[in-house]
Amino acid sequence: MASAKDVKDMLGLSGGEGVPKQTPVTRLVKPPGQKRLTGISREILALHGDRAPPVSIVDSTKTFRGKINKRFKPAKWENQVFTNPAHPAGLQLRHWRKQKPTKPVNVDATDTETAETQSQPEYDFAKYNINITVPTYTDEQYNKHLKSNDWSREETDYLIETVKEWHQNWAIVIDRYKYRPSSTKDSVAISTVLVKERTLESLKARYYEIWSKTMALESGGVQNMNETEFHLHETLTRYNPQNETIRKNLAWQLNNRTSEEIREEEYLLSELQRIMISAGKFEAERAEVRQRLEYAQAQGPNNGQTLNFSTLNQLYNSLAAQDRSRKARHRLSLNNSDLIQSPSGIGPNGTPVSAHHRDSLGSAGGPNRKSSMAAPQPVRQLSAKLEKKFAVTTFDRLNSGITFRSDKLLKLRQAKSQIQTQKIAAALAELGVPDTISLPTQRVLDAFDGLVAKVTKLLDARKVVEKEEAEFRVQAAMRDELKKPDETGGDGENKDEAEDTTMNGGEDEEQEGEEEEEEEDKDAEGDDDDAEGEEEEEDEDENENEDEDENENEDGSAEGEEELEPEAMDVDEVTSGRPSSSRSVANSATRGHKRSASVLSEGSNVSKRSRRVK
Amino acid sequence: MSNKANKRVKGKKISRDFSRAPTPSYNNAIHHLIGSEAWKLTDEELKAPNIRNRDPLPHAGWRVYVRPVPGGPSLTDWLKRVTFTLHETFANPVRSVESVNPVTGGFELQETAYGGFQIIVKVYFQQYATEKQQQRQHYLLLEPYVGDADPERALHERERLWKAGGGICRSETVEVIEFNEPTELLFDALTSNTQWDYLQAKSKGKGRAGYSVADNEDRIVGEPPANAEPGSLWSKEHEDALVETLRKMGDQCDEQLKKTLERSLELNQANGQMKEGAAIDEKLLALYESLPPKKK
Repeated sequence: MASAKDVKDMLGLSGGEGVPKQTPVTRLVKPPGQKRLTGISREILALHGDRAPPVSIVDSTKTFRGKINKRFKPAKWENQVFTNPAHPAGLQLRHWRKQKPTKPVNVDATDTETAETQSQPEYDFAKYNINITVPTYTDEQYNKHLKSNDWSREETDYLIETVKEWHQNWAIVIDRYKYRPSSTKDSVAISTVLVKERTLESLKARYYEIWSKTMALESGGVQNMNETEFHLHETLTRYNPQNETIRKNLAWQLNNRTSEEIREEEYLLSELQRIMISAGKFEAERAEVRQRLEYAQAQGPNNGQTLNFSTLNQLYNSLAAQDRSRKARHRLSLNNSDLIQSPSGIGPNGTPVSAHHRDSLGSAGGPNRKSSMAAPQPVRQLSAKLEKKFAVTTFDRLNSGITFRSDKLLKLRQAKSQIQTQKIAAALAELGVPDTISLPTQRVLDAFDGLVAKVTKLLDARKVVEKEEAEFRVQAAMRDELKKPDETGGDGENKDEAEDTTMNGGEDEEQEGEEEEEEEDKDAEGDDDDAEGEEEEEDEDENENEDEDENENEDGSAEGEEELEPEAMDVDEVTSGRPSSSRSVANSATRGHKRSASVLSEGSNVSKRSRRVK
Repeated sequence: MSNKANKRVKGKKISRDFSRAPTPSYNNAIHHLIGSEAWKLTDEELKAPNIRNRDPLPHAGWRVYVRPVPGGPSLTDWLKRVTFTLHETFANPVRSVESVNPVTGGFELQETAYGGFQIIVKVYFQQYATEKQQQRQHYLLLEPYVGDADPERALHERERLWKAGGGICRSETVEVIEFNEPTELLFDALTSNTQWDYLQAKSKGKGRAGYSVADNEDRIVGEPPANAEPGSLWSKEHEDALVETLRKMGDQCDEQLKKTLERSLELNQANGQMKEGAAIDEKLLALYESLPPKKK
């Protein structure tokens, strides 16, 4: 219910000023039935809603607190006079100090001075006032040992003084070192001798020199020094101003690098690192290749066998396996190098990798190679005699498992192609070798291996001879044609027969040629043709003389088609003289080199057609 | 099984000879042999109930075996059992033999049959060898093989062979098994002198003194003995003969090769002459005549 005050307030009238306003805070302080927690912001409190707060909120004002010590009295302080031994004697200063409780309270202003002087304890900071001992020397000593062209006696004294004064803090010493020769003596000398600008290093060098020399003089020679003295002497004499200058310059330069220079240097370093690592990899790869080559060489002579197909196959397999493992390793090493090339520079993996690299470089070709190849030596070693006794043989590489030696005998009989295998089998049968050899000992195996090698050689030779025979046959056939003009006037009746004969003969020849070229292609059709040709082949010789020109051509054409590539030249020779054979030449050209039974039959068709035309 | 047991002895190969097939001789064990021996069944045997009822009637008894070669190390060091897969007409054609004949030291199986057939011999290895079983084949020969085509002569020859074999037809081959990279346990087993101990047991059983442990030191695996019984497959003699035959065959081969090469040379020359258009003389003609008939 709105009161009059509220209305006034809304209307902006200043009617209620006299009445003290109730602040909203006071209203909030007393919510009905709720205890207000203090020590926590209201907003946060509101977030909790009605639920209990997640942590117990304790009003800090309500916790126990010890009572204030009401009897506490602050200690008394006094402004004491003290003397600092570091200062020139007599200088008295004051500072505030706690009054000692044991002392009876006696704050009498009049007596202060005497009391203070009486009870003055040692100054707390006096212990930090350390006077260093500087080398001292007498005139005699100086003239005898310490004279220098560069340093006058006066300046040396000044140096010693300054160093002593500034407690050998060289940074300060060089700052304060302002030597001006005293103008007491001869002004001429001063004006002529310019005061040298001393560097810190020259100061140190001079000071250390004097120090070490005086040390030696005091202790009566280096040999009389005790250990610490000796070490000190060593360090002093070893001081080298040049080195020091260089070192400082370097440090200074390093410090003065720009950020670009720093980045470039880091980049170059990482590049170098990368090169080193990849060099290691390359070296490993090269070693592997070398190992392969060696293995390949070692294999042949070791086995005492010819490098046949199976051994090559085995070699290939082993190489493939190696390659696979190598690839796997590459993946690993790539990870490593990634780590190393990170901006942090040499990672924890970096060192081992490069170390390995050095190893591989060092051991390349050395006796360590075997071990680096990770070829574990056979665990079981037997003496040669025992090995023989138990039929144990050792190999570089073996496929584990079981083999039967009779299988090896069988394998020897097999060639790459089936035809060749059959031929070998036939040849072996011809020689009387049984199918199974009942005693496959190593000796027998070796003997058999030799035999098979010989048989293969024989077969190869026979193949060559067969080719040559075929060629001879062709040549002979051509010769017969050339002979013909000598004996002209054959029978008209014989003509057809002769034609047939030569044609078939020609086909036959073709067939022959084909068999040579594609020995493995056994063709039924070809065989038929062959059989046909075979029958009349014997007649060929008899009929040859009676052949007529037409036959020649046909024969020639058939031959032309039948010619193998190597003999192409001959074909040209033969055909060039005969215009009518050009067609067949063209035919053979269009058909290309690939011959088949169908080609052959076409050829025969052509020749038939040509006959019909005539 | 522990890792160590499975570890292979790298780069090592151990070979063992054995024979497969039947052997007639009980006095000597036979080196790793696979073979069979067969004999004619006697009339009495044929009347035995288990044979009489079979159809067709078997006429031969046989025994197939896997044995050590005579004087050779025992098989049991690496061989656990052998199964023989017989012809399918046999009842339970797959026969497993787990124990060795103490006399011969071989895994043997005896049966009767009316015809020869191919027997599949599967050898199972001892567990520590960790190898898979392997398969071999053996043809059961019931009669001595005679290649002669003439039936009468063949009959005579066969009779002769029967007699020569003492009524037993033996067909066997020495087989050499090679353990490539054997496990360490197997390696140890195969290189121990105890491999010949079974010989001792055998000779004791027979009351003979042909064996002593000391001999083990001198025994050599895989080398046929020089003083083997005559006719034995596993002998130096036989090996020499075999090598010699093979060598002779090689010589034969060489001879033929020489001839072939000579002919090749002739043909080459002749071809050259023909191409040049030289006159055909006697020699060329003879060469032409010598051309073989064309292939069929």
